[in-house]
Amino acid sequence: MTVRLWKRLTRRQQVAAVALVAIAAGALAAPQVYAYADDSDGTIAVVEVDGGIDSDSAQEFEEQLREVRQNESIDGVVLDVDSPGGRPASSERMYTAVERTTAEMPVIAAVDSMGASGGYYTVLPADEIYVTSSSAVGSVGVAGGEPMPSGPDEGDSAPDKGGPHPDDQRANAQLIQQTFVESVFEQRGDRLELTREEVAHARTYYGTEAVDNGMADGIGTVDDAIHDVATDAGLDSYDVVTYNATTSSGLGFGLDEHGSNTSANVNPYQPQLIAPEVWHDAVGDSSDWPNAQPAADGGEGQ
Amino acid sequence: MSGHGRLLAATFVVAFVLTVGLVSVGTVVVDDGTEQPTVEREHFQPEHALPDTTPDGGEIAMDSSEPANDVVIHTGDAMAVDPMQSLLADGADRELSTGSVGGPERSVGPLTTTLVENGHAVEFYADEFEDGPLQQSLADADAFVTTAPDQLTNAEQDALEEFADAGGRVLITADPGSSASVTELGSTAGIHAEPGYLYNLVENDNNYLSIYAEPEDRSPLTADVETVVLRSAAVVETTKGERAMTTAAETRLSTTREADAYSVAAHDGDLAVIGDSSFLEPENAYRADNNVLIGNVADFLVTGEKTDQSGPDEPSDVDPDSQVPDDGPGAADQLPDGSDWLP
Repeated sequence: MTVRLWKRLTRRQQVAAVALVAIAAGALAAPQVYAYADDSDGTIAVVEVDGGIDSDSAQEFEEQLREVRQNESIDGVVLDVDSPGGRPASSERMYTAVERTTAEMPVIAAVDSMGASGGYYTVLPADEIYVTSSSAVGSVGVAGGEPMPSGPDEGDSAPDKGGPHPDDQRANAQLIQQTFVESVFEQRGDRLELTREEVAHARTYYGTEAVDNGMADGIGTVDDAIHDVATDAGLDSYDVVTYNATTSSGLGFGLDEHGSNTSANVNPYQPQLIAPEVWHDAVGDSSDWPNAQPAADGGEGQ
Repeated sequence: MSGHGRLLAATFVVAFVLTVGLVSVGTVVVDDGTEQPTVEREHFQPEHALPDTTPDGGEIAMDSSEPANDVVIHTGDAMAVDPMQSLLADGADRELSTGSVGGPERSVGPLTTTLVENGHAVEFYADEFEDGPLQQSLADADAFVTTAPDQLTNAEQDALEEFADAGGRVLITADPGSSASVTELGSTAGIHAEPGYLYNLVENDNNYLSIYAEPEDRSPLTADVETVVLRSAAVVETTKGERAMTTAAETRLSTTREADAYSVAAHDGDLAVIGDSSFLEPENAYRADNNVLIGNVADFLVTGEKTDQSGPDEPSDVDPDSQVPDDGPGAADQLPDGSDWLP
């Protein structure tokens, strides 16, 4: 029937009809063509690593990076870091999430004030770590309570319920420490100018020195990192999407919501991967702890 | 339905099924599932991550067949001596229902039980207020041990020097923080301790402060000892006597951070100084060869002859003033011969 109708049209009408159809098709296709020409080549995700690291922040961070990997429009990740570290297991979880992401796309970490201890652990697998000249990075070590024997307590079913044997407490902290140092060398061994012993000394390095000794790769901020990740991903033009850290807080690491010091949520007997200044802030003088104990050195010769 | 209608319906069904089928098959073929990039986890595995263990166990044995000796042991005040001791002060807070961790003397438990098992007598000395003048305690003693030299008063130090001059054996454990008092006590024998603490990040017993030390020579203190573990050690040097133990070469001193093989124990005649008291603690006494070292220490303490010069009733060749406690309440009540203590 269509053919019969078509044949009834004059040539001019046929041309007009074809033109109409072409215009309609063009109108439909134009936005796509426009979008293709105008839109960026891809998207860079900026994911925040902010504040103390605990299971909540690690959960959110892992979730955000999973989302980034599954989102086909995202081609690269910048980690916007300002963290003094936190719980060892949570830091390791975040480390693993970053490593998984670097397997799929370029990842650069840019450290603001601090990427220390667990915060440094987290960014280790990034392709590169950028710092400002005064960013604090490193602190590859464990802070924890002094090994102490515990007394008898019928309330517990076994001695280790009252507290670990001092030998076990040392071994526990050593396990975390050893794995941390190994992770540093696993990820950055080829770039480090430091020996294993120097890394294990747990010094916090400021940015410029960190670049010099290989704890970091270059001086730069999040802007530099975004541009460089986009270049690595082969994007001429790109959009930026930011994933904020909403669960992180100082709580549990010495700061309450008002920013004042509190040690209410810190267990000074648990090994932590946190920067020394935060540890001292949070835990205070060890003589303030329950079962107070004087400094091992007796205050001399530190 | 007419033939034409059936044809149209059939065409629709066939076209629909074909389209859905092709698209579904295509999707399944093209879709390779949700990807999970693999990560390197080798260094988290037990064979790489578990810390080395130091051998534990053995017995504390004495070789000496000396007759009964009296050993006075000074462990100092609970709160000031050792972090561990503070536990006792707060024992009630820990809701211990059937006992406590122990008094300050627990930190030398393995040594005292060894001495007692071998027929020797042990007397604990806390301070002059609790136990009277040290001189009095030392009168009948053959040996003296202090794990808290920094808590000895001037009068106690004088009494100790007099005791050593008379041939009494003295063992000082010089934990970090006590260098001044150790140097004061040891200077006549050419032994001194340095400020600061030792640590080793390369090879240690699961903590940078837990360093290994090995015998330097065949000092009686270190016979049959191969390695001991010191949980927190200070440098102990000697100019006249013998170095008894040194650390591994990667050990560093906290003040200078220089790596060296540091001397941590010295021995000169009747005086021995070990730069750590932790090896005597029950939790550490069987680590590596600490048990052998404790046995040797016990032998050292009961071997030798003490003259009775230092007894309170005997004339002394040292300045009698030095016997009078020169500080603390009651010092003025002490008679020069020390025989009448008036509290």
